[in-house]
Amino acid sequence: MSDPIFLPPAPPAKELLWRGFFSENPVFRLALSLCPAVAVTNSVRNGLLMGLAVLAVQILSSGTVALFRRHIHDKVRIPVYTILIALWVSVIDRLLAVTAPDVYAEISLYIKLIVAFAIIISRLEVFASKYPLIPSLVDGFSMGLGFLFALVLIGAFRELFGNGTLWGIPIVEGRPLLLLALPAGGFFTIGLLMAAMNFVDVKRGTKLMEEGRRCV
Amino acid sequence: MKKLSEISPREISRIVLCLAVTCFLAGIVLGGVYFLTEPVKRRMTKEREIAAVRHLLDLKEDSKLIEVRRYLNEEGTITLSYLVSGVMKIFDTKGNLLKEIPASDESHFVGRFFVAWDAAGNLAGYVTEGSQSGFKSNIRFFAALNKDFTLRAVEVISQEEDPGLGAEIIRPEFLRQFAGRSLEPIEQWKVQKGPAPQRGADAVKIYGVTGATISSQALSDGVAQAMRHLRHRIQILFPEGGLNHE
Repeated sequence: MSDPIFLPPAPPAKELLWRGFFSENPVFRLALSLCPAVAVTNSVRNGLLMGLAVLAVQILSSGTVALFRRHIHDKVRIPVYTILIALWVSVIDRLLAVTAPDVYAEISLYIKLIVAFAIIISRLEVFASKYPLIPSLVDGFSMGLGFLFALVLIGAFRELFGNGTLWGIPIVEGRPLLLLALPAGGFFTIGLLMAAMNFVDVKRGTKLMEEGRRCV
Repeated sequence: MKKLSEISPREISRIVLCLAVTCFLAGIVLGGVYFLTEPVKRRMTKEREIAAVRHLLDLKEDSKLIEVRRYLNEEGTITLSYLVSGVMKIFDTKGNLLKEIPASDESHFVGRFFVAWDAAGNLAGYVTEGSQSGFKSNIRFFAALNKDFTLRAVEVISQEEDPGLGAEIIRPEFLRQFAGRSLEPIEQWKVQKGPAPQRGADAVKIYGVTGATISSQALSDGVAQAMRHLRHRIQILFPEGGLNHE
């Protein structure tokens, strides 16, 4: 399978990094993988560990697909992507079990669920299957980093206001907003943070400029 | 009706080849990772289990542990073998010792237990590994017994029951109900539904985890069975008083 004929050149690394981290953040902008984002973010620690696992899987999957993109048959590309994601998830799962068994005991169930994350397969389809290795690795890194950032932020918010602690260290007495520690609270938190990011965008004038460009 | 586009045999063979090569290469990578990490994982598992056995019997690092491994040979005459300190003791199904040979073939492994002595050389107790089918998965556990075969503690090693339901059997609140029990009366091993009374609790009954009666009963049955089997095995392996001192 060759590269598409009318393919724009890969954006520069700086723009790719900004996209994954902010302007196309998987959780706050693309609203992908919200359920696992809620499930593991009852604490900063769990969010960080899960985010790192997703980052590793994203980079490895994007790199593999980009490397072999010309040899993956178009009609079976989705099953092939799924096999590759499952491969890297299994590898990460095994390495974590061997190198950090205490951590693994806490998040092993969620690691296995990474196979079904929409963000990973969508980046393979949208980017890694079309662009060469280096831009795909940068894209994978930026999307993974954006997901990690989102999980840590949500985890910090929920742990601090839901539990009164941060990384297990008591910060605030009692549980100011216990609702945030519950699953429903996780979705509230994501909504609030999405609104906050939109607010930042408006303040920066980015949104208005984009809308202005669309009207022209 | 719209005619479906036809895929040529050449195209089909390319698709099959693509999938086959992907699976093959993925298998090579995964197999390689497992091959490289298996020795480390085994060593870590062994260290963790030894630490768990010591913890269950409240023993320090200078205590002595021996692992007794069990084998079941069903080819020809059925025999049960126990590997104790490098010696394979072979018994018939009635518990009669047939012969003792140096450790050799370790196939047909079916289970194990540990015998522990404290630093002074006094028998501290036993820890037996057991497993029982739960609601969704096999529940593996360690049951620690005092030298009089009363239950000291139970620890779940591995399970994949439902989170929030069956998986709650690992909680200390449920497991501490097993401490201090002897095998009889048999009725005590039937798990009761309903909340455990806070005070004046009926110490005879075992109260199951709410919404996880099957998992709770599975662990209870497994522990009772493990206790029964261990008592029998110790009696045939080590004659009376043979274990009291190291």
